[in-house]
Amino acid sequence: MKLWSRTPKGGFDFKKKADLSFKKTGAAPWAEFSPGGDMIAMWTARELTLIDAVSWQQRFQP
Amino acid sequence: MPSPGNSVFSPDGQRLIYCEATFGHGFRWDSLVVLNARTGTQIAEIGNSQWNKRWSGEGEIQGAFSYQIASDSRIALTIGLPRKGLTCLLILSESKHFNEVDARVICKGYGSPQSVSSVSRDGERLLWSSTIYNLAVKSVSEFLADVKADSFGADTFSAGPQLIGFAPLGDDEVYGWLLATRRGGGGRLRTTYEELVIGDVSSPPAIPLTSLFRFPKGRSAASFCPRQEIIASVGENSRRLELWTMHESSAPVATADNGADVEWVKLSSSGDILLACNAATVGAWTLKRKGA
Repeated sequence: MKLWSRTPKGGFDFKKKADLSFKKTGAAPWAEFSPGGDMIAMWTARELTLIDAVSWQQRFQP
Repeated sequence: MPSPGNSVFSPDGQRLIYCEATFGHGFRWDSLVVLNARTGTQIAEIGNSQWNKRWSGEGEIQGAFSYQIASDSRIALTIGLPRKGLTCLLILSESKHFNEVDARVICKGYGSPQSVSSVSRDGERLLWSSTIYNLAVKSVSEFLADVKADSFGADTFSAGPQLIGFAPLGDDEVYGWLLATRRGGGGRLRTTYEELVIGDVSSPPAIPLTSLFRFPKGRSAASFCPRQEIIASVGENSRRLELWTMHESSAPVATADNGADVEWVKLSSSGDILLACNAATVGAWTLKRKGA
């Protein structure tokens, strides 16, 4: 069995970058990353938004 | 209308299968829709004609839980049909426009739709749980034999960990990991994330599990990123987001106030984005290891 490597010690920069607001529909929005992490599917009960995670994240860069 | 939750990407990220629901008297799951995940174009809908013919009276689809493409390009998809307490394995062929549906009931019992949460890449093995800390791998044929013999009791699947699934680490699918959960009784399911364990699925049926991380106290939501070996969770104060490393469980390495109660969190596979949802807002957080 694979032994997990020890992650380096130290903290994280942990910052909020964006809010996506949805119309209230009774059910909370839901999101799923694609296996490669390059796409995000985000749902409400009324709409599906497919997001290119790479370009989306680039917008967060300072 | 699409429905939040219970949808799944294909392993290559090119397809998204979700459950279609209609609104009327409550919330009704109807069919499965296949999308091109890059363009949003609908490729197929598994429902209406052939779906309803086969499944009429079996209850609505609860969700799609796993999606694997086998070596012969067939697709193995597990779905839940909660009214009858069934989990089904669908064998689909994309090259035939999803029209040939070979559906097999693979387990039954209350809560069963989430008990089989993963199908191996060859489409012939299933990762499943019967009780907490009872994780097993079975071949599809073994499952079918058990179903035929009715050897699954009604309460066989009443509790179990949430399986993250077959994890392709390296060249082989020989490891699985999961965040263990505990479910309440009385027909009300409550999920508590307690522990991260890993199992070697190369030695079925019993899988020895090794505990890797344990929260000091159960959390209502959590997400694990194996690549970065980090875990995100919602704190006892449900507004608080927490970030943990796998090897330090005494305290989170970072916390933040979300400003509103958090319902779920999701880490990206690269571990650099965290999504946190409250009632009507999904917040995007970026994570960066200090000094990296």
